[in-house]
Amino acid sequence: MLKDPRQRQPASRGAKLPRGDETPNRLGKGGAGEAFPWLGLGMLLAVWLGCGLLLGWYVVLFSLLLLGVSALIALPWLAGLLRRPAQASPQASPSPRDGDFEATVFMADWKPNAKDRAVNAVYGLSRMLSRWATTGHQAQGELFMAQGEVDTVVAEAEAAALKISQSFRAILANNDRQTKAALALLGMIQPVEAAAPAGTLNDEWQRMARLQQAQARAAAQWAETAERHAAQQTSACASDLEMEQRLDALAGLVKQVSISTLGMGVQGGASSGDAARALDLLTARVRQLLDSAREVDRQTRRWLAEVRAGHEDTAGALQQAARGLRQSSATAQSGFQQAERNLAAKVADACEVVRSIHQLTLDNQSHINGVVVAMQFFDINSQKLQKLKHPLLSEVVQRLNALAIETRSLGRNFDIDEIDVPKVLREFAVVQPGARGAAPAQPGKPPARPAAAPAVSGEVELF
Amino acid sequence: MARILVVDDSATMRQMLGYTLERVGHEVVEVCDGHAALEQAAAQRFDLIITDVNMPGMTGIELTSQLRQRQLTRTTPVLVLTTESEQEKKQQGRAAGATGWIVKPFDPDELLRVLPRVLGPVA
Repeated sequence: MLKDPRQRQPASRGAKLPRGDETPNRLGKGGAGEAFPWLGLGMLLAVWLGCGLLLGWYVVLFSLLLLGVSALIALPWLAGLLRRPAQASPQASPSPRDGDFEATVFMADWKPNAKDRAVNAVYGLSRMLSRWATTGHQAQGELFMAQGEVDTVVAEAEAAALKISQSFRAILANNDRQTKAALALLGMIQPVEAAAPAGTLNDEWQRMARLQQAQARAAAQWAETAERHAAQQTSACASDLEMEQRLDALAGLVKQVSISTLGMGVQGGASSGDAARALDLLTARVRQLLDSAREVDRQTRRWLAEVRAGHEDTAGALQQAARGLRQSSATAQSGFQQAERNLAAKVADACEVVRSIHQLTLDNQSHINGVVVAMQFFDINSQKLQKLKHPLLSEVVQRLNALAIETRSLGRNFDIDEIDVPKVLREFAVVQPGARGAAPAQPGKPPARPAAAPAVSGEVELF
Repeated sequence: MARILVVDDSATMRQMLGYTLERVGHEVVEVCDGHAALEQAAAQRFDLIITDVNMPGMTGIELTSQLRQRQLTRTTPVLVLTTESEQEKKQQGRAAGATGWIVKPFDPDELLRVLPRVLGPVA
């Protein structure tokens, strides 16, 4: 490891930091150059005390006198002698920190030459390279861990995306099946409506229409029969009235015959000469009356026969109408039942299709629920990524920013542009682990980044 | 059917909740933070409030606590829907007055099964 040239240069030139200089320079106030004389005096004091205890105080006082004189003479040399090993041990000095480079610049009484500047620059560059490498490794490790987290999140997101894709695919497939089922339903309905001559259902409707027509005809016959029956009833009533009148007339005739017979008996008793002629007249009159009575009776029988025949016609017509109606009704019922059976079959098919569509809809709902869950996973993972990305990258960027500032400070303080850095590097054989394989720093350019360091320049500016 | 206020800063989550609840006939009002939720809750009565926990400005637990302090929403059921599943958080929600705690991602059917228990006769 290359030693810090700033610890060597001031001592070699006997330079001193001015008192009150507030720059944090450990080489002046707090460095090993001041610590070692006090240490020597302390050691002398310890030897003196030891000798005093062992040899007695008079001898000790004499030796002390000698030592004091010799110390006054040898102190500058002793101090210089003691300083060298102290400067040569880097472990004794505190480790340099940020801002050490500026302390060197403000040393007013030391003007570094080109070689000093080169050594400083090389040292600074080597330290910078080392820190670049360290920071790069740390950043790489942290980014690696972050990448692991991100990989997990991405894997979950991919699984969610896959589930979404599968769900939507299933939805689309179900929609396709739904469409086919609906088309099948339409295929069943359309022939019934469109193809009337060949349509089964249409035939049924036509048959039902025919049955209705037959029923209408039967009803018309019923009405006609009813009208005829009413007319016959009216006629029968008139005949009954007429027959009653005739019967009354007949009853009157019979009464007259009885009265005439009674009168003739009286008259026959009064005059027997005219009794035979009167009896003849009476007999003729009675015969005439009886003929009239027979005629009335015959007419009455005929009217009664007509009435009976009218009633029979009425009953027959009614029976016929009833039979027609029963037949029509039975036929219509049969047609309706057939139509109903056909319709029931069609409705059953339609219901089956509808049930199928309903089941597909339920399946779709389940798939859509899957989509809802997957979308939530997306959202949750997105939030996780946001939470993860912000602090981690902020820290890395902060460190790289600090390094960039330090690099700029290094370049500004050591006039790197004036130094042939590759030559100096070769001269001092500076090889840093982080700089292995890296190109030597070029004048006017920042030191080469270690291979392990992430590409941060653009990101640093962006953040 | 119930009128439900959904409070979540994630538009995706609001959409998913809205879809799930409106599908079964509920009326859904969506807001993106606790302040907007308080305004809505003061303007109209809701049968249920579903809120996320981690939201900008006001957490769901703070929102629940404030809802419980208001007369109009003192007894309104509040369901907390969050990715948080720690017992401590749940206890905080319970102490604030939450009615229930659902861990994301929620199953739509499960949410719909829970609703009648929370809504009561309104459902």
